[in-house]
Amino acid sequence: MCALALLAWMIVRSAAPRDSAEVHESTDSRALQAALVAWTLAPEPTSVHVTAAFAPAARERQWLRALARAGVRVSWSRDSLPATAIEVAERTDPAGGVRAYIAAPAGTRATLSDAVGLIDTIAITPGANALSLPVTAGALDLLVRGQHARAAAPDSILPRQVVVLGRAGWEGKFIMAALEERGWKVSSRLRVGPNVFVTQGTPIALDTAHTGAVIALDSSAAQYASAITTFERSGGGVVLAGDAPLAAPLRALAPGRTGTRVAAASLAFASANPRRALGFFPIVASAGDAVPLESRDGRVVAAARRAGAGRVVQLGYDETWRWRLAGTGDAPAAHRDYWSAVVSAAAYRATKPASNAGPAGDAAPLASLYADLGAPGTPPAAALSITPGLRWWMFALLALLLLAEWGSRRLRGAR
Amino acid sequence: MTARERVAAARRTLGATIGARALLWGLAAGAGLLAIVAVIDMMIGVPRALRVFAVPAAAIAALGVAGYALWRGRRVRSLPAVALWLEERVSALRYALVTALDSPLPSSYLERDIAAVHWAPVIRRTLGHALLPPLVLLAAVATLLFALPAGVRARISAPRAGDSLLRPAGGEIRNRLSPLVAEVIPPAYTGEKHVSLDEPSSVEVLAGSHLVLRGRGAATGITAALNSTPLSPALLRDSADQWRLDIVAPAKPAALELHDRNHSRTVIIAPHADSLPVVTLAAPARDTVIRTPKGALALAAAATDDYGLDAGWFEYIVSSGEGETFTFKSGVIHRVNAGGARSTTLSGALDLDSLQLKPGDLVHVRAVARDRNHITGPGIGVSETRTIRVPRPSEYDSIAVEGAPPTDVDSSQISQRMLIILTEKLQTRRAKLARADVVKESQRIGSDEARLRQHIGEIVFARLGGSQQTEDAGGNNAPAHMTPDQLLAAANAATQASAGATDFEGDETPVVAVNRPLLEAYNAMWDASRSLEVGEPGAALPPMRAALAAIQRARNAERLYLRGKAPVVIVDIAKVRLAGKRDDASSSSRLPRAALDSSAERRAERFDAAVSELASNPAAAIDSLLALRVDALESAPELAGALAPAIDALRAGHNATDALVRARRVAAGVSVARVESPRAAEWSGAW
Amino acid sequence: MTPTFTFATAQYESGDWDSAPLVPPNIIDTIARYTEIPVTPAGVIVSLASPDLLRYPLLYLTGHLPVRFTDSERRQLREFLERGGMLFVDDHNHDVDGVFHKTATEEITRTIGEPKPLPNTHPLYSAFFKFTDGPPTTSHELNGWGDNLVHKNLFAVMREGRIAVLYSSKDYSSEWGYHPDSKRFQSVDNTKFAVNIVVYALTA
Repeated sequence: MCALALLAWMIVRSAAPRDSAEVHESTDSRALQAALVAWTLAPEPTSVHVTAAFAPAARERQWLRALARAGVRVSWSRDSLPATAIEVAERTDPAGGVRAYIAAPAGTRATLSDAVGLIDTIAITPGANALSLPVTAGALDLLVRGQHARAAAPDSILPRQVVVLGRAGWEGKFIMAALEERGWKVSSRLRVGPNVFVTQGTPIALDTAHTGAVIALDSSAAQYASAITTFERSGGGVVLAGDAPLAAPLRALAPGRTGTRVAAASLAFASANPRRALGFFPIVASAGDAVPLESRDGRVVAAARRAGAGRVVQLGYDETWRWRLAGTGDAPAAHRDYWSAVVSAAAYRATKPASNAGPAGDAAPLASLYADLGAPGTPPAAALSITPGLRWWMFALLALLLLAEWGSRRLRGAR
Repeated sequence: MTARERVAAARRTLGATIGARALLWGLAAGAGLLAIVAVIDMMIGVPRALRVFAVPAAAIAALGVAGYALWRGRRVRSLPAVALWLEERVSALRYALVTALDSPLPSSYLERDIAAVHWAPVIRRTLGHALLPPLVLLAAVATLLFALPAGVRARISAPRAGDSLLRPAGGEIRNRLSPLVAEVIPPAYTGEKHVSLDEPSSVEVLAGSHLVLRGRGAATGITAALNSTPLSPALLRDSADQWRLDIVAPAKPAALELHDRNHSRTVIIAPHADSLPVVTLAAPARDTVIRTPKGALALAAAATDDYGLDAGWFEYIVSSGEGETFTFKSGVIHRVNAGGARSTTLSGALDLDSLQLKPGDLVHVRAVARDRNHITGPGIGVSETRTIRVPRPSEYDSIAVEGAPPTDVDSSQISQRMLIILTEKLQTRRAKLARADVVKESQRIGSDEARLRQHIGEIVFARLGGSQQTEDAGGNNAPAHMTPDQLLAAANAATQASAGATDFEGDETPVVAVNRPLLEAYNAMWDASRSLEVGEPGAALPPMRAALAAIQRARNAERLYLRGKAPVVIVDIAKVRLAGKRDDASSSSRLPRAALDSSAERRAERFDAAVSELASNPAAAIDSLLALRVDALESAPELAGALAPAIDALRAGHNATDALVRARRVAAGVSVARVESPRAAEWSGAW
Repeated sequence: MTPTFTFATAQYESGDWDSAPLVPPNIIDTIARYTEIPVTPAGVIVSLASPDLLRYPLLYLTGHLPVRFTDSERRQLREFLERGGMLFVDDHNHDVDGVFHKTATEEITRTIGEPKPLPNTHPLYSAFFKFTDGPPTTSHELNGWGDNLVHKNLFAVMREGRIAVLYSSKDYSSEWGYHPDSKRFQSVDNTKFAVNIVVYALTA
């Protein structure tokens, strides 16, 4: 009888006017909005708790924040809400496109779409997952276990010109070919003899308005060190290839010192790691702020650092053209992509600051929920978390108990 | 005739009737089904995929109905049943017939009673009742079938690709571009059959094939364009009650656009080329050295082609000589007419005796096959070449002789030929130049000619042992003109006076014989100089050419090249570095290369634009996808392949989502990479 | 170690690929004489069928005799050219009716495409020295040897706007086929055009 009394009290209590605490199981946006409207209109509850099966949108979050500021105790808890995030940046690539970084629980499947439609479905692996998307329309939408995350790339301008300076040789020729084939606009000044150059474009006028990066092919580029340094300080990208950092005027820019040339570790260009068949100048005694980007047998081949407003990438290879010519598979395409990526890593890109009110939507819904509503909490004690579904189960239980009681009495009477 | 015999006769008649009735019902059912399908096809059009089942279904229906009719008349096999059936219809029998059949012994009494009853009219009436309905139905169905247009009957009886035009139009033709039938007529040499296609969105053809497109109605008002280039209206003709466009398939993928008033249609033509014959030389199997070039060399080869070979043969080239003097002879042997066979073998022998090979000679042999492609070919395939060498007895001996720069006479000749070229150019431009300019330039060439003449003179007189006092190349101070005879006389005198040569030949000394052409050249150059001095380059040309010819004769008389195995030369780079005069060296400029991948991005953008347009203007979107497919056929075949099912699905009104998603993946070229190093992540790109 | 330019001569199965052995040292001498391009003091010989071909992006091929590439030579050469290599072919016969010309052009056509006349205003003629009238004439063609023609143009197969195959009927192989030390006897160096070819190959 005590149990019956307790249950009856609870049901009556839950059916009573909401005057103190509200618990809402957030299953879709429309229901949450309706609840928000109800909470906002009188009578106002003293506390609300949202059990989130999906992350509320920015509008609902702001609404809940407003309720909190109005004195309502707002708390939330998550119900298998996946932690997803997407960041989109324009590729530093003349072909355009974006690069999307995706974070989601490992092992889940994520679908990525844009304004046109579905782009791809990917299996999430531990760590950050990056997608390179040559062409997209509008913001990207990431969907993981019913949870959407949306983001668009901020506007930016990439000066497509790359300046190549150094001696005439196969490396310069094929680097220029690779970059031009990938859509970079190349200016160059290649020394052939005393006062004899093969030039293209306007290579010496280095400024970030026109030029994204400059490549010093070898130590002969030292004669332009002053212009290169000024360009780098103002935000430009510099790639010091081969023995270029051996020249004193360029040494100050380099992420590390250049060691003695190391012969190729392999005679053949294996498809798995083709650059093992290239000789290189190892980067030793790196500067403190240098980031090693590529290593081989414990020696750093590529490193990068920021200096001033610009970036410097030091690349130990001096004969990557051999990879393009003698590599297996589609080595020319791989060589193109590699050099374009090297330049991308350093190149200057003018990015417009992202506005606070991003039109794209939530890039990281769960993180935003934490930011807006704080850490998840437990439901208010008064509320006892009786959800509508549970209420009906309890009613059924009560009816069953009453029926059992009535039956028991009838049976006793029959005896 | 006993009663039993009479019942048996009646059974036979009834059995035949049942059989005939079953046949008639079966035919009527089969024909009726065909008629129903034909009428439906005529009214709303039945897809060929369904029509192909019409005749088999009709046959099954006929068999089923006939079988059912036979099953229903199965009791006719039993005599008592037939007797009972007669008793039911002929009351006068009063069960005498059944009793007579049941009785083990014949009863004369019963036989007499039965004999008195005639049941033939009942049988006849039954026969009429049984056969008339199916007969009438069959006649009606047959009449209906024959009343239908022949094209409709053909579509049902023998469905085939391209028969959509056989269906009657039914009223005014609103869109003459639908239905559309394409007929591919491969070149005759291929021996391939014609192929017809209904409602084609793309047509794969062999390059050079004829492509015939047909539709309903007259050709007037229909226009066609191939890759946006309008086709001649003459290519569109009327044929009976249809229009017809007859074109030769282009060599590269193209979009054929058809327009009829406000209707338009695009058909992609995707040609593939006839492959070259593949020829394999089996014998000789490898390069060979033959010490004694006698006898015959066996030759064997095999050739295959995708459509058929026209002919095959062996080719040989014999190279003789060494150094700068080589002679060649070549020939074709053992030609075989393949007559269109897809593979053939070539065999024969090369008669080495007839080639008269000498030591040092090389024989190159290969097999060649030609296909029958007279449209875009012929395609000629060749085998690997085998080399048969006849060694020299002393081929490993050599003398080291360094090559020398051209001799003096070479230099003279360079100048003479160059001067001729310059004079010819001046003569060509003469009409466009002012007279003063002509004279000025002509005099400049004349001055060079005079200098060259002086050089020739130096050579001649130096050889003759005389001094070079004869002339001064100062143009206006040129010496008196000597005739060839005077020069020869001088030469003879000089030779006899100084050399005392003993190697006489005829009336001349060898030195004179050698120098005679140079002396002639000297004289001709004098005439040329004079014409050039007065600004008449045209008049100067004949003597200049005569001078050149004379110098050439001199060169031929004297030329001697010594060749041998050259030593390996290691250049002393440090010694010669920048030792040359670079006065005329100057900086140059490089031309940029075009980007390779831009087309991929353009294709992806076009794909997205087309998909975006699907909701608002599906027809335009499909056209855009078709145009994209044309472009992709050569440059991005994977995308072209992915687009095809999407276009087909959209055209057919089916759900194309999956196909479009697949195509988009290919178009966009999405690549997924893991970022392992958080520090390197911001240095996006290669790492 | 500075990467250096190495002059490579193509060795092929048929014909006399080694008919001009003094051309490579002469060109190497010329490159050193006029430019600062680091150059290997001796040339190399590389088989057309060998993958080593891809180590030398400029290749010189000459001969008098018929040129018939084997399948592997053709395949390797095609890959070499498609990846950006440049082949310089010179007809040592200087004879457009000769077998070298006929067979070599046939093989080139079969391998990469048909050689077409190269305009005399092409950047090749101004890559280092200026040759305003196009390719310099050779004494052999002016002598009337071979086909008795002065060839006004070189021929080329272009790829992506660059010369992939440069074909000459002018017989530079004879013109430049002498010991480099003999240059001292010449008032005008007739190998200067080789500098343009090398500089063009290294920079275009």
